[in-house]
Amino acid sequence: MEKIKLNIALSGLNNIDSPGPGIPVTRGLKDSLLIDPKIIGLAYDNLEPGPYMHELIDKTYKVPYPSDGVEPLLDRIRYIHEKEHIDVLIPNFDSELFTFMKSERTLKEMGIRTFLPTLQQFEERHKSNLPQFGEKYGVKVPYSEPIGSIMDFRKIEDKFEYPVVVKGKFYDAYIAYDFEQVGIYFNKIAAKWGLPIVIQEFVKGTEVNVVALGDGNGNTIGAVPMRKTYITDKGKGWGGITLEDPVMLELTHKIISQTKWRGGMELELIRTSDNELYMIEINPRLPAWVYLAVAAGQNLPEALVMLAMEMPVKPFSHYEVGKMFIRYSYDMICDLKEFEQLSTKGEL
Amino acid sequence: MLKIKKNIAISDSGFVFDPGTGDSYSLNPTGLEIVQMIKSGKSFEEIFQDFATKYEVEEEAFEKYYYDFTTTLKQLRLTEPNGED
Amino acid sequence: MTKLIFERPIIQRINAGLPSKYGMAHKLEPISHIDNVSIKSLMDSYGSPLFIISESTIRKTYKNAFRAFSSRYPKVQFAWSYKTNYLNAVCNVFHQEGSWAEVVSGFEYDKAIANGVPGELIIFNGPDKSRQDLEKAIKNGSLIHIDHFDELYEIISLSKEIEERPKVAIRVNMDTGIYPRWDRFGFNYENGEAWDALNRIMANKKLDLLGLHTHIGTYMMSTDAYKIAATKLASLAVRLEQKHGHVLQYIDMGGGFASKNTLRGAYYPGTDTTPSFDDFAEAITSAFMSSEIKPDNLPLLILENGRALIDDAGYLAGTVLANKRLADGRRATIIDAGVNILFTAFWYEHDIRPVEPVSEQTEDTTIYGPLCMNIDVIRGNVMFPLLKKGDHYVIRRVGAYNNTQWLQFISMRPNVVMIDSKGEPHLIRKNETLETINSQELTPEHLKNFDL
Repeated sequence: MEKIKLNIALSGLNNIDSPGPGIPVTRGLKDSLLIDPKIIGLAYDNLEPGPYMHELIDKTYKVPYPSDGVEPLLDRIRYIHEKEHIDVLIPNFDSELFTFMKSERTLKEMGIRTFLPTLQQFEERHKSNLPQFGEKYGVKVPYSEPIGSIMDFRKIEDKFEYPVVVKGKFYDAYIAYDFEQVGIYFNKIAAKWGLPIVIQEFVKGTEVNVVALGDGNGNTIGAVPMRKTYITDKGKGWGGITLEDPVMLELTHKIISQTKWRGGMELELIRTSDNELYMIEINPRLPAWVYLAVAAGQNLPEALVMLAMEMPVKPFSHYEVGKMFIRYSYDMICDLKEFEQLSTKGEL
Repeated sequence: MLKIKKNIAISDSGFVFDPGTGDSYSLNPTGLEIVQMIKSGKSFEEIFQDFATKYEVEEEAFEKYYYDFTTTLKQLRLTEPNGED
Repeated sequence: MTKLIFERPIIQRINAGLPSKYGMAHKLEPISHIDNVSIKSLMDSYGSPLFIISESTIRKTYKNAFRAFSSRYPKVQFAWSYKTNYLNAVCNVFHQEGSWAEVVSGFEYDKAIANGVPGELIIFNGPDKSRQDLEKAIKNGSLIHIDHFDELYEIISLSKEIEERPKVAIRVNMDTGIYPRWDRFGFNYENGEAWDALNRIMANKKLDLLGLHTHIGTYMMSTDAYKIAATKLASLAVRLEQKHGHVLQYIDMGGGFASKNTLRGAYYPGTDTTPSFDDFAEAITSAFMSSEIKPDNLPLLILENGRALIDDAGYLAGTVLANKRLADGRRATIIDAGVNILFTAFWYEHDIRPVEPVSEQTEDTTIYGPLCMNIDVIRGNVMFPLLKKGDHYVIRRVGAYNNTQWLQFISMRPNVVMIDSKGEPHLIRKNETLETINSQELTPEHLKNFDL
C-alpha cells in the first residue's frame, strides 16, 4: 500500500532532560506504515534540540509564544502554511493548547487539521477543577484548591495535612512540608506560569500513567499503561515499563467514554498501598514517553494524524506487556551557522 | 580610537559571535552599519557623516545613541580594552 | 532623496540556555489614528499626555452588549456604573444609548441628577448613604439597594416622616464558587440573612420591595459564577412569591465582567481569555429562563457593567521623555504618563504601542512613568520597539477607572478629549493648572510672607 504523503507541523521539540513530546511523536510518525510525513517543527527557542535533528525534523520555524496571544501566532502559522501547506498540526505543549483550540476553526478554514480536546474538556480537567471533575465522572481525586496568593493558603491551611503538593497551572509540582515551603514554591511557580497555584492533597503511593487516544465519540482508540522505573530529581521518568493492568485500562475507558475525549491524553494516577487508584491529573496531549506505546504496538501519533485526516482508524486491542524504555542523553554536534540561521532568520 | 576585537565574527545578517566567550548577539540594521564602520576604522565624525546623508538624524541625537551603543559594546567586551587613544 | 528614518542602534545577546520568556519576537503594530483622527495631531492641539475617548467605540460596545442580552431575554435594562467613569460626556453617551444611572455615593447621585437622569431611573448602591442621601433618594423615587440592616432601619425610620414610599431592593452576597468571595457587601444568601432581610421588608408595610441585587466580584473571567448567582437570586424570587405572593419587578445582576485587558500574572492575554458578552448573557439568561419563576412574572434584568463597556474606548497617548540603561544592562524608557493618572497599571499588563512607524526590532524594556517615585512603573519587562526621546506612544484600554481614580500628584491631570462619531474631537475635561489647585487652598495671613 502506498503511504499517504502529509505535511505535519508539530511543536515540543525541546528534547532535553525534561522533554517535550515533539520528538517522540515524530518518531512514531516516521515509523508509520501508512503515512509518509514531512515534519515541520515549530520552535520557541534557538536551543531546542529538535530543529538540529535533521533526520527527524525536516524544517523548523520559530513561532511566538502563546502568551503573546492568538493573533501573532496565527499570523506566523499563516506564513508557514503558505510555504509548507500544513495538513495536520499537533501542538505538544500544554501551554499552547488553549490558543490552538481557540483557533481550531480558523486553522480548519486555512486547511490545517488538528485533533484536539474541546475547550470544555480542556477546562474541566484543569488542575484547579479536579475535585469537580472527580465528582462529575465518579473518579477518585485528591482534594485540591486553587489559591491566588500565599495569604489565601493561610485561610484554607486547616483543610490540608502536610505534606501538600504545590502545582502550577500548566507545569511544575513540588511537595511542600510546611507553610514556608508552600510560600517558596508558590513564588517559584507563579513567577513562571502565573496564577492560580493549586494546592493538592498529597496521596502516598506509586505513580502510574496511561497514554491514551480518544476519538471524540467516547471510543478509546488506544491506551497503554506504564510505570516509571526510574524518576529523575525533576520528577521525569528516565525509564518505564508497560503494565498489564485491566483496572487502569477500565478507568481510562470510563474517562474517555464519559467525557467523549478527543485527542491524546496522559492520565497521571497514584496507586495507594490499599490498591486504590487516584487520578492526579489529565494532561490533554500525548506525553513525552509516547514512543513506548508505539514500540509496544500502538502507534498513537499515527492514529491521531489519521483521525485528524478523518480517515478510518481501527482501535488497538493489544500491546506488548513488559516493554521497557530507558531514556538517555546524547551530545549532538551542531553547526554555529545553523544556530545563527535559526536565531536571526527564525527558520532552519 | 574604538576598535572591535579582531576575533569577533560579524555576519551580514547582524549575527555576532564572540569566540572568546562563546556568546552570540544580534544587531539591528543601524547597529550593524555602525559596527562595520568601526571595524573599517572610521571615526565618529566619519560615521556621523555617512549616517547624516542616509538617515534623518541630527548630530546631537546621533551622538547620544552612538555613545550609548558603543558603551554597550564595551560592557559586552566586544571592543579592544585599550581601543581608545 | 528622502532620508530613511533613523533607528537607534542596539545589540542584544541571543539567549542561549534558558528559554526566553518571549519566544519569537513579534512586532508591536503602531497605532497612529483613533477613529481616523491622528493621535499626533490631537497631542499637538491638546498636549501630552492626553486621554482620548472614542464615542463610537462606546456606542458600538454598548449595542453589542445590549444585543447579547436582549436577544436572549425579553426585558433588559443597563445602568451606567458612574464610578467606572463619571466624566459627564461619557455618562451622557450611555444615557443617550438608554442606560439608567448606577451610583454609590451622594456625590455620584447628585452628578447623575445634574446630568438630567430622572430620579426614578437612578440605582443607589453601596454601603455609604447618609440619612440626607436616603431622604433625597426616597423623595425622588430612586431605587435604593440596601447594603446592611442599619441602612434598612434608617429607611424604615425615614418612611415614617416622608410621604413617598421608599422603593428598595436588597443586595445579596453568596458563594458562586469563585475566589475571592465578596461577602462584605449586602446580605448573605447561604446563612439565611438575605431571606431574613426580605421578610423584614415584607413585614414592614411602608416599603416597596422592587428587586434583588447582587454583584459577585470584579474582573470575572468565568461565566459559571453568574449562572450560579442568577440561579440563587431566582430561587429567592420564587420563595418570595410562594410565601408572600409578592412578584419582584427586577433582578439586578450587577457588573464585574472582565474587559480585554491582561491581568498582571496571567499567562494568556485578556484578548484570548475574556468571555464575550454573549457568553455572560447566555449564562445569566439561561439561569432565569430555566428557573421556577413563572414566565409571566419574569423580572426585568438589570446589568450595571462598567469596565467591560468603557475600557476599550479609552486611550492614553503621550511622549517618550528619555531612555536610559539600568544597572543590569536592560533598557528603561521613561514616558510622560505615570501611575497617578494610569492607576490600572498596578493590575494590568497594559497594551502600549508606538504611534510612529517602527521596525521589527524590540528590546527588553521597562517602561517608567515620570514621577519621582520608585513605584511608578507602567510596564515591567516588555519587548518594546526602540522609541527615542520625543517619539509617541499610546496605551490601549484605559477607559475604566482611570478618570475616576486618578490623582493630582506631583504634576497636573491632563486634558481628556472625546472623538465624536463624525471624527470631531471635543475637549471634555480641561487639564488642571496651578490655579486649579491653588484656588482650593487657603493660606493663613501669618504664613503669607517670608524672608529667605
